[in-house]
Amino acid sequence: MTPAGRGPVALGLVCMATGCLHDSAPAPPTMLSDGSGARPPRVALDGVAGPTVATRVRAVRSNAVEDGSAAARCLGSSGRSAGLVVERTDVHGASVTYLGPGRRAAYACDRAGNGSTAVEPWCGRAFGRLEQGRLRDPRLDLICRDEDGEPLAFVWVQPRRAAAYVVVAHRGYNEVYPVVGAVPVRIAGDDVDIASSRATFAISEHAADGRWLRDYELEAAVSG
Amino acid sequence: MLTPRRLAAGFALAFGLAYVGTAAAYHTRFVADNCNYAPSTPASYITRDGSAAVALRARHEGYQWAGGCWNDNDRDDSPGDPREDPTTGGEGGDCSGFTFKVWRESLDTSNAGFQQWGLLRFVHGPYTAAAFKAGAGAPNITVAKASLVKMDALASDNHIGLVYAVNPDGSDQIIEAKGEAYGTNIWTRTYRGSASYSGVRRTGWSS
Repeated sequence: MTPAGRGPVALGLVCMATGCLHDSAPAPPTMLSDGSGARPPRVALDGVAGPTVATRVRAVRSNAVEDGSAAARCLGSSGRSAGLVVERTDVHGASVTYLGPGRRAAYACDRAGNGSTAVEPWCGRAFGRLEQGRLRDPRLDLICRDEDGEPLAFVWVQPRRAAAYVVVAHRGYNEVYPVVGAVPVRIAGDDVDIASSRATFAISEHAADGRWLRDYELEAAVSG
Repeated sequence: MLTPRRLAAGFALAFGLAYVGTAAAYHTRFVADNCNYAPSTPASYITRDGSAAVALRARHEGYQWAGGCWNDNDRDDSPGDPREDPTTGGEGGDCSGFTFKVWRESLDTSNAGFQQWGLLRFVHGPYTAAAFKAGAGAPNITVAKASLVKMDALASDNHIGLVYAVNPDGSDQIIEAKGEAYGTNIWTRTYRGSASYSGVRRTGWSS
């Protein structure tokens, strides 16, 4: 299969799971969860077809995180940070990911929507053990709920070293997450099976020039 | 609906092979041959002692990452599972799945009521140890460690165990699903004195 054909196939996997072959796809999102406008990615991504939204990422050194910010609240509630703190805003919500001392663990805080109605800025938290710098498990978190009360799924993706972008195929659109260093990429989705406490993601990875590297279906389970 | 076979294949292809290397080659048929997906039954009168009785039936029954199904024959029917591999189909729960089932919680995190789950019902529930530590979900709250009583929990970012009894020296007898090499049992632990651990309580007990 050519790379150009893989994006629609990945989108098709999502459609098969959600039944969208029989329904019209919803309109693609016009904004990210914080209300900012949804923009297309700056790079053309091989094999990614249909509406595509670039997520926003910000990386700061842990000692540069502003006091009192949501990121600071995340750092204060979990393990100590060493190195970069990666803040992400996507269509479904937001997250913070950072690595612990010795790069032996990854920590995340997750949020659905813009969090404006919540007392605590973060509804979900995750911890993952790293072995030789890589996660053994995507560490699915299902605690956050969207504005309709439906559970959101957050997982880490550990992309290949050559990957600069992780693309997640949702129903009717794709979402692009830039990779930051060797920090696992926290992504969000709503293809959740509550009965089995699992979630599914259709993913592709791309190089900095948009070249396709691989695609796969990630099925994650709540664990540990 | 995802079938267990599809899930196992998906894990192996999408994450297992990429992250765990050869571990995905190991697989037992415990879950496939013994476990079910029967619905839970709501219950109104659940005591801490009743919950402890449920927990005791899991002793010696093994450990399975992302698992939640065990029998009551006092042995691990799938010993030697690789660590942190959800695809191996072995007997037992992991720490958070064990806690979810023993606390008789609901898959709906907004439901604080009690649910009866059969021993052989494969269910992990929506909570990780980190989620329990944060007091996530309607039934769960964080409490001071000094106030913990029987069947309350001590949770860290990556583990949770239940207080079974307090020893005279202040340490605790913790009933927990500890790991593939240990299974599920009662051990004396000093989690209460560790800054990594917080106190967590399931609310709503009848007594």
